Amino acid sequence: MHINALEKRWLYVALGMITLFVGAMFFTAYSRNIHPPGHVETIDSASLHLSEEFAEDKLGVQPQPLPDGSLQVKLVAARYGFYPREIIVPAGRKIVFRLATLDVLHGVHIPMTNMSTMVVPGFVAEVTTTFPKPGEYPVLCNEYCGLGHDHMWSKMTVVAPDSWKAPTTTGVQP
Amino acid sequence: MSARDPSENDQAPAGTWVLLCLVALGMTLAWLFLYFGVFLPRGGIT
Repeated sequence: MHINALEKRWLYVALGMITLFVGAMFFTAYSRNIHPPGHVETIDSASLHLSEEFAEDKLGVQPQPLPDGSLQVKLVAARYGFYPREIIVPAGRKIVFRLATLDVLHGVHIPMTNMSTMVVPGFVAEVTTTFPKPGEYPVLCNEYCGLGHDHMWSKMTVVAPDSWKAPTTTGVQP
Repeated sequence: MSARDPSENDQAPAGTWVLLCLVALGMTLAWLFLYFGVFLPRGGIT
């Protein structure tokens, strides 16, 4: 098959760029241990409020860190909000989010960060991430969940590590 | 009208080649900036 010399060059350049991009992603994924969340855990969404873990008084940033020093945050997504309505976490520390939905499919998206996941009815979504920059971030639903979907949001405040105080209790604040 | 010589068809126009190189370089630099300068510093998701 005859291929024009210029087309061959275009082909080589495109293949070189694709190789560079995919290679960079594989290398950083391997060297930084980045992989897609693979947690599978079922839960009865209809009785979430009665469950041991996602009852109203158990939500939010957990006072006790996990054995590896990371913080655990428990959130419930329900039409139309995330509960608790505001969480405060320290910058630069590993945060393990555990999320469940009370009703339909929701999505959690925190703009200007990489935090984004789906919250599927009947399953617990667990995602681990770190927020390097202090600031106030909205927590938005990015899966259409009903007429109030565009009002479904809450707030996350990331503070400097030395000004962060571990909460003494959990639960939804009035 | 006679067919052009095949060797003439294989000659790459220099201007097109330069344009291609500039676009490829710009796209590569932009991708590297977004990946290493924006995406990775925001923290990985696992």
